[in-house]
Amino acid sequence: LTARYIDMPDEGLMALIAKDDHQAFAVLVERHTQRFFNTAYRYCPHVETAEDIVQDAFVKLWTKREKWDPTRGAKFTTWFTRIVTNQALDVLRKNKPEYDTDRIEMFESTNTAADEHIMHMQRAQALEQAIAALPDRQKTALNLCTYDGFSNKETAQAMDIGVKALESLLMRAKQGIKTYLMREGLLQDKAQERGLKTKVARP
Amino acid sequence: MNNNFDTVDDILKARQTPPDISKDLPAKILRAALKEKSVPHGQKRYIWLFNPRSFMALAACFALIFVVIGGGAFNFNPPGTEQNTYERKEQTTLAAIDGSEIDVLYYWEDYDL
Repeated sequence: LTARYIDMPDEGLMALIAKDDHQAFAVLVERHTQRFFNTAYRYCPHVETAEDIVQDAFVKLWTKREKWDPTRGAKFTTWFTRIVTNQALDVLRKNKPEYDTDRIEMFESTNTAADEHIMHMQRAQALEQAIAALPDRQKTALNLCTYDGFSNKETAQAMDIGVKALESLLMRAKQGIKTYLMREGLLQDKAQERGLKTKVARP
Repeated sequence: MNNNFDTVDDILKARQTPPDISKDLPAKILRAALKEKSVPHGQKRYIWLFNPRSFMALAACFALIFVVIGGGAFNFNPPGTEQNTYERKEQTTLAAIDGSEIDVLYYWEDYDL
């Protein structure tokens, strides 16, 4: 691959891809596969499923390459994140998510104490379940803002909503997770805790 | 050990990072993309109805429906018409035993079944 392709921004590569340049497509795939795999994995925490999602999304990009419109001024990553997210949500609707239990065990084995192992597993599983239980739009807002490094403005653009609406979605998502974790006993209500302490302190 | 997180943000930060992709995934994607057929620039796109093959299939279906339904509806000799039922009269004169003549009128009614 020539240095010309490697140094080129994503949008420049997309312009070449629209002219059937397969080498530009190869550079784009090499550059972004891990990033979009991470995006897909946060919806479907199963390696093979997430890889299939990324593969299907890139194949779709290649077959419908003429749909890229540089005049709209959208960043490639914002535009393609929407494709990957929609693909992942489609898979989620069709199949129940599978969890990589092997990976959770591997994650646990790095800790020493047995109770810490159990706690790590509970936390990891409870968080994944809490996020999986969120409505699609809240899930997308949370994943893009918290884990994909998108700013609120970029996330709002990717989701085709206003920034205020995005902030509302984020707030509701966090509230949903909080409620779920409190029910699981992994998070305590601080206000309630303070109230109890005050009551105890009274003579 | 503190078994509880302080805030939701702490929990979100503690989420596991996704694993690394398989080394051959980019190559697999490129192979899959090359196999996939795409419409080259300038090639004519058809709405499905005007796609020649869809159009021929649709025309064949209509022709079949026409033959099946039309065959029952178009009875070329429906009952009660002139072509079907006709009456024939014929008069003849027979000789009676006593020698007188008797006029006999025969009717035929034929039904073309």
